[in-house]
Amino acid sequence: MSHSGRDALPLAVRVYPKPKIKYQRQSSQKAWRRPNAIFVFDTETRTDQSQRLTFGSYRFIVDGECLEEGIFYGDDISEKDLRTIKRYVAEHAADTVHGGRIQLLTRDGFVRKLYRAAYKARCLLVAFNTPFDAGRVAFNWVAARGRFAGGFALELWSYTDKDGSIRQKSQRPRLCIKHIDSKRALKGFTGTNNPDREDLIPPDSETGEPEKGFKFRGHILDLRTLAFALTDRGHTLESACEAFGVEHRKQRVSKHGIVSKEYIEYNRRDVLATSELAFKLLDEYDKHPILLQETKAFSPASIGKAYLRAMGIPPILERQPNFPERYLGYAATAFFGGRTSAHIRKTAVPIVYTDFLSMYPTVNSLMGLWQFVIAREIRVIEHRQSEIRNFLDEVTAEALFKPETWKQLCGFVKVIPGGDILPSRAKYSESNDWQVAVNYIYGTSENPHDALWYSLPDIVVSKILTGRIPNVVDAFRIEPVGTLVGLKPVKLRGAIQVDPKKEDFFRVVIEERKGLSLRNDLNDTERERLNKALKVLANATSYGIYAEMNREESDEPVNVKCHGVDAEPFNCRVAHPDVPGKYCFPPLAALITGGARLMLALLENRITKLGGTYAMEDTDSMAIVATEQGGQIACAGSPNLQALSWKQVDAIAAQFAMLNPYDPKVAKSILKIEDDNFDAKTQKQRQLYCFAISAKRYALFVNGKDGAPTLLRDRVNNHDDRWSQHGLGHLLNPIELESEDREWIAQIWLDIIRRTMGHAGGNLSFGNRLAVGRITISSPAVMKPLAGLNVGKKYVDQLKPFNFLLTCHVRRAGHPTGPEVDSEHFHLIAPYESDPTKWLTIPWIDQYTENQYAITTTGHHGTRNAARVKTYEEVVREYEYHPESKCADSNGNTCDKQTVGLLQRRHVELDYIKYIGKESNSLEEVEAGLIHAEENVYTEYTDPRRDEWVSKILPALKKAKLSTLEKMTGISRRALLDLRAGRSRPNRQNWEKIVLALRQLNLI
Amino acid sequence: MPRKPAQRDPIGSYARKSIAARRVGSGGQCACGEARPEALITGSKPMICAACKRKREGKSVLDDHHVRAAANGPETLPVPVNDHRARLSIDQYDWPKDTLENPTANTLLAAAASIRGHINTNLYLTEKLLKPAAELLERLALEKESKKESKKGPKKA
Repeated sequence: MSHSGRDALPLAVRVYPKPKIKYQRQSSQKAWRRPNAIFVFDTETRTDQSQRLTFGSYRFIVDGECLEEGIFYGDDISEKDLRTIKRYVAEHAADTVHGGRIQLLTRDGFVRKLYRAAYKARCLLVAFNTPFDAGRVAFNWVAARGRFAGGFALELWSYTDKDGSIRQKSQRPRLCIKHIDSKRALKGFTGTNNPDREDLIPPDSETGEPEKGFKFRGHILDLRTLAFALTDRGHTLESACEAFGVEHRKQRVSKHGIVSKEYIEYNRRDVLATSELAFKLLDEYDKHPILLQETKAFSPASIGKAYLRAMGIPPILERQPNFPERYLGYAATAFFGGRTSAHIRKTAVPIVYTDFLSMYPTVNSLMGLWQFVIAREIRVIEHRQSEIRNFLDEVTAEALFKPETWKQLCGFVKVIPGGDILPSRAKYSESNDWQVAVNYIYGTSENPHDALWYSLPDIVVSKILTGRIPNVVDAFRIEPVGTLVGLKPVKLRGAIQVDPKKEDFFRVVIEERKGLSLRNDLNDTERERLNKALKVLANATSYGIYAEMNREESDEPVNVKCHGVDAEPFNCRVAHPDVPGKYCFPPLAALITGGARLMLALLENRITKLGGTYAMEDTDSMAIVATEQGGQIACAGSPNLQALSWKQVDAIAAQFAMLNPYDPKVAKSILKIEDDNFDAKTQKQRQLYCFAISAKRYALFVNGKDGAPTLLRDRVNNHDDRWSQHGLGHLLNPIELESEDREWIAQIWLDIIRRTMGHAGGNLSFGNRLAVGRITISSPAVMKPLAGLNVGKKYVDQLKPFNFLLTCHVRRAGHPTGPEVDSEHFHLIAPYESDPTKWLTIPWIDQYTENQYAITTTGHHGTRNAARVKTYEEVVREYEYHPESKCADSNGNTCDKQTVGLLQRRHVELDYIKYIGKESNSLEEVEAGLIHAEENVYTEYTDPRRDEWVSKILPALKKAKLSTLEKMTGISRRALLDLRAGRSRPNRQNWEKIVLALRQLNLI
Repeated sequence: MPRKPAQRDPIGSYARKSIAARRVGSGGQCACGEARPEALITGSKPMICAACKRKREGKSVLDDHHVRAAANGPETLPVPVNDHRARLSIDQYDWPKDTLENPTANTLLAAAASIRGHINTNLYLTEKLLKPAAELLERLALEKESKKESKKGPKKA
């Protein structure tokens, strides 16, 4: 802490990078003719650690008619299993239009079919979760290169050479798969040696001429990805079949892994369900009048971008390539994600749960951002500090209830913070992740290096919450000029016409969506599908695409030109540069999220003006402390907490109606008193309670007749589950291992709440079990520590790409005690074992050192060869005590594990600025504990002019006495001399020791 | 009722069609109107069909089609080259491989080939000879109908 009550922390800001990379993804905007044939397949595997192929089946379908069906089996299948399959094939007819026999193929025979269908004939290759199935039918893999660097190149087509070794045929491609997350992966065939003439002809060729260097990547359609792109939801085959009304849905089987008639039926049914789902999804996809190939629809954002193209709206920087990059940099540094935190911690309080109607589209509409999207040109108006100061001088919370005020917010302001309430990205907790918080930020007024850019809405937040105008040193506005030529109306999902020239896209989408319930020309299924499509589309086009950054894995460091806080860019070399997405335009992204934070601040202002407070907020929602009559309630740290009355909350919601950009017939106010507040049967308002631990970790509940808490549950007492899975979702279901059911998380929440409220608790039936998560071998990097287990084994026996693994978490001080163990870099994984009774006896491997260790759930510490790992009970305790570190307790101290009650904003002094890229990469791996090192999560861009070592630490180091430093840091005199002379730089550990010593010496 | 006849190797058959189509490009068509990819000459500029090419070169536009496939007997039938390439040869690819290639000169397979060959050829000839007649009659019926309509004059609103 540098000043009383203030913590000096480095703050990170996003940078706008311009990397020089070889592989730029090109998206084709040409209409493509979808092949009329699809090849669908699915595999079954053993449930042992190799998860080897036992058998699988496929269907070849042309124009909707199945012409061929076959079953294939693994290379090492037992005689008995093969007999079962042969008997099955002999006794059953193929489910094809002509009947006939089911084809029976070896793995090799199957991949020949696959090659002919998917590569030579270029039909759609369809599967649900393609990476896993492709990993089963491969015979080997190598690390992928080039555009697939960081992924696997699967080898499917083999031959045996003179020495008897099995090798990849050089005339056949490899199949590359680069994992993005559990729902998405980049997939494509590689090139081949001596390709046939017809393989060099691009699919859209009008002349049939081969193109030198052309590589056919395949039309690989993963239905999991397409279902996600259409619904913004992760689906299983079962849930997708249900959601899209597939006739022959997935069946269940009593036992996996054992070849039987029932199991073969199950697999054939899966392929049938997959093929029917493919047609359903493609039908749904075809309703969207867009030119995007379905194999390239990776997310809702892909569809959103295709709609913009369909309306004649190219990316802003494509149509205006000379937009000054400096301002992109300023805006990038002003970009922060949504505001989310617990405000009353670990104390159940009565609340009314409120939510802003489609927050990002609403903010877009209020700020008139659609005009920027369709503008012929976006102009920067520089140096508007005096105008902005005047605006800030006059702006009040009341003025913000006039929609015209929001139209004036399209600007950016550079300020030297002086205790202003501003968004900040800092390492607020002991963990390595950057958290966004809205706190009191302090810089040094004389130091121009402490000036930071913020969106004007964020500065207005500070004004309305503190009453003060920040120290503005520079400002600019952006304004739309003219309208794009060639804008075209489009019919959203073929049903809702939008004219981009005449209408605000976001307003139309939300109004149509909200008005669906009033339409009687739609049946329930169609209404529901349209509703979801509009919701997905509104969200996809309203924010994310303007902030899109893709972290590229490159084979070696590349030069990047970076635009940041300063007028002049800087150059640096990084290994994994962020590449801005096609529609990336940081000024819009920063304004949209800034506008959303302003909306929440305005709500906060209304609540506090009435003497009230809130329990938590999450991007677009807030739980307002309120009871039916209002009045004081007890709360730790704030014994006389004022609860608003329901009527007061209603009045606040009514006030937000003034900002409603939508037709009042379909939406009364933009602040909704959520349906959760009303009894599902009687429709009468009920008293909800909120229990929040930290950001995104909260549960809502009602008190039952016996006074005991009852969580809000879908189909029980609510239309949705209202407990968060954040922080627990990566663990396996401890009650039923293979089940996707998350009821066990509800049990945890209920247990925590009951205990806190003084009811009986602490009786989780699974508390003593080992807490285990399941991850996949998603990249060669994850495979690396397991390489030792594969040595000398045939491929079928090896751990393969996209196999499942087990992961567990070491307790504090539970690491093995050997000198080779680095507790900062220690993570245990093990080949998948479906029998939980064996988990404590199988060897576990440290992901970093590749050493094997035993594990235990007893005792307090690790031993020489064993790690003490967490049980579910211990995970729950940690979860329960997870501190909201970005906030302070009621006394102003940083919130820690024991803090309960009302929290407040922290006071943060800017230590120095760090430039980073997108900080939220590989979220699933981070949550699963698979990625520890920060360089694997986000990229840091070092600006030599703002290099903390050069500008701050080195000058102080030179002032300190060597002998004192030697004693304080334990670093040798020789090493310190080298550091002082600039001959070397310290590693992270020594860096921290030096900084600590210099702070104690008051030199920094 | 299936829209397509049963094929020996649907994937192979589809692959052949797909490759042939790709080789001539999406706009591939001869000036004479022939658009069947298998009948077009790959790489020709402008695109030309086998029949037109033969005509241009002063050669016969007829091919000798081995009705039973060359491996099963020397009998041939003269057929237009485009139909030979785009229809009759393709039909033979759907025969069982052993029947088509008959490497051991098996007489039973040769007999099977004979039957298959006659089915294919007869179907082709029937279609070729009678289909135009059916189409002619349909056109005549249509013309007659339209004449009747024009005599009645415009419909009253």
